[in-house]
Amino acid sequence: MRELRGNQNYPTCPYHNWRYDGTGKLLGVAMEKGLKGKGGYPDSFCKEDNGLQTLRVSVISGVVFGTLDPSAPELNTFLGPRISQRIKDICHKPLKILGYQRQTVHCNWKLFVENNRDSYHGPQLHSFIPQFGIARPADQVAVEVDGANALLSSWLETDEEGNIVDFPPQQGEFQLEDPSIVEGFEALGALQLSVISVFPASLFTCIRNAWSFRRMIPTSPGTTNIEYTWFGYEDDTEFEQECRLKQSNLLGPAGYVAMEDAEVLEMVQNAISQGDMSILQFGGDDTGDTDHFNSEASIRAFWKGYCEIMDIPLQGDRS
Amino acid sequence: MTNPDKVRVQAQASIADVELEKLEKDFMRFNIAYCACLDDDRLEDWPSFFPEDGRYLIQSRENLDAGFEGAYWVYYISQGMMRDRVTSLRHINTFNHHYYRHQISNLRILSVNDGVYEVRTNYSVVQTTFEGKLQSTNVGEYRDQIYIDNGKALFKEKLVVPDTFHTESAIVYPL
Repeated sequence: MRELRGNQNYPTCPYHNWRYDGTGKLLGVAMEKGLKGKGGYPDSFCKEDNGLQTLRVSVISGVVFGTLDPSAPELNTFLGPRISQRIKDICHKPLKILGYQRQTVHCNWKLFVENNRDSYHGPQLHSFIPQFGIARPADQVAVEVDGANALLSSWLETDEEGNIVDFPPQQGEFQLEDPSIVEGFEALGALQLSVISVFPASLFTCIRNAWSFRRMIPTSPGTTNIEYTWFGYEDDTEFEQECRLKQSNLLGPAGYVAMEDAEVLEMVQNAISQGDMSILQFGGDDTGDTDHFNSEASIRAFWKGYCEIMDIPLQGDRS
Repeated sequence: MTNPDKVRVQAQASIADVELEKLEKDFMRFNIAYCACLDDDRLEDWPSFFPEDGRYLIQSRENLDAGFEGAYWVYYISQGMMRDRVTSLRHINTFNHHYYRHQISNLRILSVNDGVYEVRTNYSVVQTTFEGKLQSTNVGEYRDQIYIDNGKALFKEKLVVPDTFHTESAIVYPL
C-alpha cells in the first residue's frame, strides 16, 4: 500500500514480488523453484500455509468490524446487546462519509481511551459550552457497561406527546455573536449524545449532529494517532449537512472542546511519566451501569478488560 | 475539479500584465498583513480581514483531493463566528501558549469573477512552544477569494488547505 486509500485486487509485496488475492491467499512466489533447478524454496514449501493474516469481519448496519483474533467472540456478543442496538439505531439508514481528520496526541493511548470514557471532566475542562450559555441540561443520562465496552448517553426533556421541550437560551458569562454554530436538528428523537467506546481503542462519538468514528493507534508509549471518520446520512438535507459542519467546530484537532483534551492529556502524560502513583476511586469501585455521569465505572471496565487480556491479576475484584 | 493551469491562462488573458503585477503585489501585501496579525498575536484584528459574511475554512488536502464534503477542521461562515473564536481563545479555552511564524510565497492570481479574485499562496506556519522549543510545522496552500471594497482588500473566503493533514497536537490559533 503506497497510497492513503484505494482498492487492490492482487496485492503484491514489492520486496520479493509475492502476490496475493483479495482474501489474502498467496497466489505466486518469485523463484519458487529457483532458476534452472538451482535454489528456490524446498519441496515442503506450501503456498496455502503462507497467506496473509486474515481479518475476521462482521457487519452491523453497514459498519464493518474486523479482528485478527480467530478466537474472538461473535461481534454482537462482544459488543453486548445495548451497544449493538445503539449502533443499529444510529446507522438505521445509509451513511455518508463526510471526510477524515488525523491527529497525533502526545500521550499513551490508554489516557486517550480514559478521556473518552470520562464523563466527569466535561463541564470542568470544557467551559466553552457553559461560559457561552449554550448547555442544554439533559433530562436523563446513562452509562451502560457491557464487558469492557461502554455507552454514554443523554436525552433531552420531552413532553407527553414525545416532543422535545423548548429550552430558552441561557445567560452565560459570554454571548455568542453567531449562535448558529450550535444550531441543530433532531435525528434520533430526544437522544443527543452517544459515546460508544468499543474495547480496546475505538469509539463512536455522536454529539448532537456532529458524528464521527475514531480509532486510536498507539505509535509509541507516549504518542497516539487519532483517526476520525466523520459521517452523516446519505439523505441529509443541505440544512442538516450545514448543521453537522458548524457543530463539528467544537470537535476535531482545532475544535473548541477537543483541543483541550489533547493539551490536558499531554500534561497528564508528562506527570505520570515521573513514576509517582496514587489511587482514588470516583463513583464507587464497580463497573455497573449508572444513571449519572459522576462515576468512573466505564473507565474501570476498560482497565478490567485490559488486565484480563494482558494477564495482569486483579486485586479485590468486584464485578 | 478546475484545472489551475487552464484558469491561469484565462486569468492572464483577462487581466493586463501590468495590472496583474500590481494586483499580485497588493494581494501579497494583504496576506503579509494577515500573517503578521497572527504572528504578532493580534488575534482581535483577525476577523477584520473578512467582511461580515466572510468565510474562514480549514479543509485538509486529503479531503479535498478525495472529494469529501465535510470534516473541516474549522468551518466559520461569518465574522461573528471568528470573533467568537477570539473570545473563546482569550477568555475560555485551556491550552499551552505558543508562537506562530508564517512564511508565504508563490502567490498567483487564477481568475477574476465579478471583482472577486481567486488567489493561491503557499504557506508554512512554524509553531514554537511557550518554552521556546520547536513544536511543529504546518504546510499548505491558501485558496483565497479576495475583493476590493473602498480601496481595502477583504477575504470573501479564505480556505486553508494543509498538506500537513495529520496534525501534531491541536490547532488553536487560525492558520
